[in-house]
Amino acid sequence: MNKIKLSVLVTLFVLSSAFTFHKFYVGVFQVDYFKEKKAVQITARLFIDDLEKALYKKHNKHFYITTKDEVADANNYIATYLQDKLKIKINNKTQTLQFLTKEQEDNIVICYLKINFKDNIKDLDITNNVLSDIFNEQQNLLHLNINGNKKTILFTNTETNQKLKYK
Amino acid sequence: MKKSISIAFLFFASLTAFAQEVKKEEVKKEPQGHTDINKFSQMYAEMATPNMFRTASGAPGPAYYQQRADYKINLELDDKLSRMYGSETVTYYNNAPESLDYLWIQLDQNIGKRDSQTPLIDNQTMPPATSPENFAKTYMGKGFDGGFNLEYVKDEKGNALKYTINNTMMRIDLPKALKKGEKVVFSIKWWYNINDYMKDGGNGRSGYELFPDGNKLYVIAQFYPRMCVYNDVEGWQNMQFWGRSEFALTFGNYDVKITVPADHILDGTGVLQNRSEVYSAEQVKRWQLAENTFDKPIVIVTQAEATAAEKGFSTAKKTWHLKAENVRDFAFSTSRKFILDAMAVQIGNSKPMAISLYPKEANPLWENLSTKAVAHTLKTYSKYTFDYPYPKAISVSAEDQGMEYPMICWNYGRPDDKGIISDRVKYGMLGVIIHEVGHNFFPMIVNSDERQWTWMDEGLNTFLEYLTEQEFDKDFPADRGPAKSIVPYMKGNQQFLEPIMSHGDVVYNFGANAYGKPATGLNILRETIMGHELFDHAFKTYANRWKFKHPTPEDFFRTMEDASAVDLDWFWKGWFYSTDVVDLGIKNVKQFYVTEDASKEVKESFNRRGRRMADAGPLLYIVNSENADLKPELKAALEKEKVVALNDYLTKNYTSEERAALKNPKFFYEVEFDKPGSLMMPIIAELNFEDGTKEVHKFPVQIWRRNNTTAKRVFATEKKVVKIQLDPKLETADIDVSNNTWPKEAVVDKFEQIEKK
Repeated sequence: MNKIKLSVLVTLFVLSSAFTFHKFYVGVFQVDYFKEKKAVQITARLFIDDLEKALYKKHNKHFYITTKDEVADANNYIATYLQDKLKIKINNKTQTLQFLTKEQEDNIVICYLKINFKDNIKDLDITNNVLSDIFNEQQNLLHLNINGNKKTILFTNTETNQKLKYK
Repeated sequence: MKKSISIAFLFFASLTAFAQEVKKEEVKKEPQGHTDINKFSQMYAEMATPNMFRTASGAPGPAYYQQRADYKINLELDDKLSRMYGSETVTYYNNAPESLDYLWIQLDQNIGKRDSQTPLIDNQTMPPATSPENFAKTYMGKGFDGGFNLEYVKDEKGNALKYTINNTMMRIDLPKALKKGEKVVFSIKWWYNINDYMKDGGNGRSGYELFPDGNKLYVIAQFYPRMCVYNDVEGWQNMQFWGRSEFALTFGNYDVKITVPADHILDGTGVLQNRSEVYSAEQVKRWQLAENTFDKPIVIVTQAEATAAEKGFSTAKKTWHLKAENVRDFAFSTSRKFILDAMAVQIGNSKPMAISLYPKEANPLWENLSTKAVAHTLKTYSKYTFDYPYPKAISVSAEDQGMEYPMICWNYGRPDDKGIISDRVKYGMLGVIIHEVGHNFFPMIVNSDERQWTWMDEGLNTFLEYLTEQEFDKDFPADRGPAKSIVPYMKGNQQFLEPIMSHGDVVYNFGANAYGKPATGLNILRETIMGHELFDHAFKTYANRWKFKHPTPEDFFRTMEDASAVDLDWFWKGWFYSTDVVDLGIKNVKQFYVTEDASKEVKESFNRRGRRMADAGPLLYIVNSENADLKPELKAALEKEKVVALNDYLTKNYTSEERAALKNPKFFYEVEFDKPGSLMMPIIAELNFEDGTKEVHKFPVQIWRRNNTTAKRVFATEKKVVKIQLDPKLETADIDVSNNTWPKEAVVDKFEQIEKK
């Protein structure tokens, strides 16, 4: 990784909180688990330009996500990025996020992910650094629905981990 | 389905809780009364009492006043040191009925001072990894040395004035109280270091962008001590500038001379006074051509000229002289990298200039689109408000920016390093130009208090931005405006939602709260509640009443009702003053058939009352399709000729022509709507018939006038209804559409769909 580029970008985005247009950093995650589905279903709604910048920072190349110029294996890079920044442990075991597909909705990209899982969820440990690693103001709202038990958690660049217990 | 279970559960749970409560309570207690909690109640409690300054109609009152500040400013830019030296003479007029003992002045650059309070209100944690540069900067560096360095504050005669600085605010104590109608003249001299806005922080809305060859592109604002607003609502608006909530500024005239390197191209607020001294003869000619060209931009400083200039780094200087009348602020941009193009725009009887300033890195995107977008914005906004009154509007290409000032704004969006212009960059750049140029109307002219009410300019402006974008290109991707786009925000956890009527500094999701939700609210009023004609007239009335004045939210709310005769207090309370959500649903649909056979229930009811059926006279019986007594052959479309009692009545009372003109209903449905959300909306029900045709029925919001939770309506139709769809065009921001359809449609499991593919 090119460190010089990284640090420039870090400072660049850390300081861009004052602008008056579009510069609002919010990701919305939905995490659903219904035992009969044998999978934890996850959707991540992210601003396309922010995700693009995050990937550019990491790989020093453009991916042109959701445009006609999108690079062929962009999904793999997104999958790796999300796996890296959204870490989910269930019952003390780190889980693998399977990237299914993505869709565009206006300037937002919706990523569909799942974790194959069929037991009871007792402990849930979520670390969410998605985009908050480069945008100081990033807020990630994560809506949980575990067998009908609903809860919303807010992740920020200073609150990146949450642990939950279920009976 | 899940929803009804959980509601039933809640209901049961509250019942048991109630039962326990009753058991404990032994003292006799009558039911508690309550005050007026009707959702249609008028907002006497929320709004200030109208007075001579601001009337109940929402217009400025007979005693309305506002202050005035005229500025004479001299500036010099040190390009090498990135430093600005300035001096100003301010003439401040007190038009308030009361005397003023002191003045408050804004020192916005102080947000970048080393002892600034702004960074201290952020949370910090230790990151697991960081770059050496970032580490050194955060833990070892002193930080950017920003902020105003004042050399003097003097009165008209040159005597020092006493002043006190409280962070971004400065109080000047007047030797003698300033009475109504009097003016005071004072001078300030200062300098400050200009920030690299991508690197140094400080005042992120202005500064310079550094290019690899050492050239700088300056976007300069908040560069001088500026008068605060004093008015009848806030007294002095001297809330600190923390970086987010913007500005409240007094109108006045500006006379500004700016000295920059001789090879720079500069433009800013106001009319250039010495064009022939700062442009080449050829450029002056091109400018004159542009002043009479209405169909396309004329390039005044060419890319070749700009490319030649950026190699020079001239040590010679040139002074640009600008004058602006009746503006609330002044800003400018300067660089030797600038290409400049312009065209005239016909607005009523005036011909303001649409202008763009951009470096070669912005091409070919900017030369094709920027000035055209400026011109389109001036025309469209003028149509919905008033004729654009200023002589020009400039769009400056500045990466990572989107910031507005009178007649000038900074906008992001350039081709990437491979020269690719994605649609996202193109529409992003167009959107930001339309938005920032649009800010000339709100808040530069309709001058609301941005420090207190972000939504008043951002919300109104985002609403007009949406209309302007759609008129520019019907495929323009709209992220703010359509009702459905605000749903993900409004259905979020209430813990992280604040009403629109909240201070900008305190909200979680600033963009959705202060831009998206108010813009959507206005769009809903225009499309669904008021209609274009009433809305557009009322909105225009507000803009015209308050142009070059300082309106409050109440002035807006009151004018919208006063000019339209649409009672909107319920909407202001729900959409602006609360975090209530819209959720309407179809609870139940019953189908009925018309017969002449009384059902068992009807007969029993007659028996109970001791009456004989025969005494009732001829009756039509309306039987629910689920009634077990209903004979299968009666479950059919009504044929009015076959129902003797009805046919007799019609034949006796109508001529054959009249009968031919009657409606011919054949199917009868009683629909029960419910309202799980507490925000009210009109009911929009689309009936879908067997033959594929549709019919939309709309019921005014007053159907909920008694705070009722359900509403029933009967639909008598000629064709069989196969589906009823609530809010078919998604125009009410209904946060849960799973209860909007009859018969209930299974919610598509997106994941199953994906995995099947």
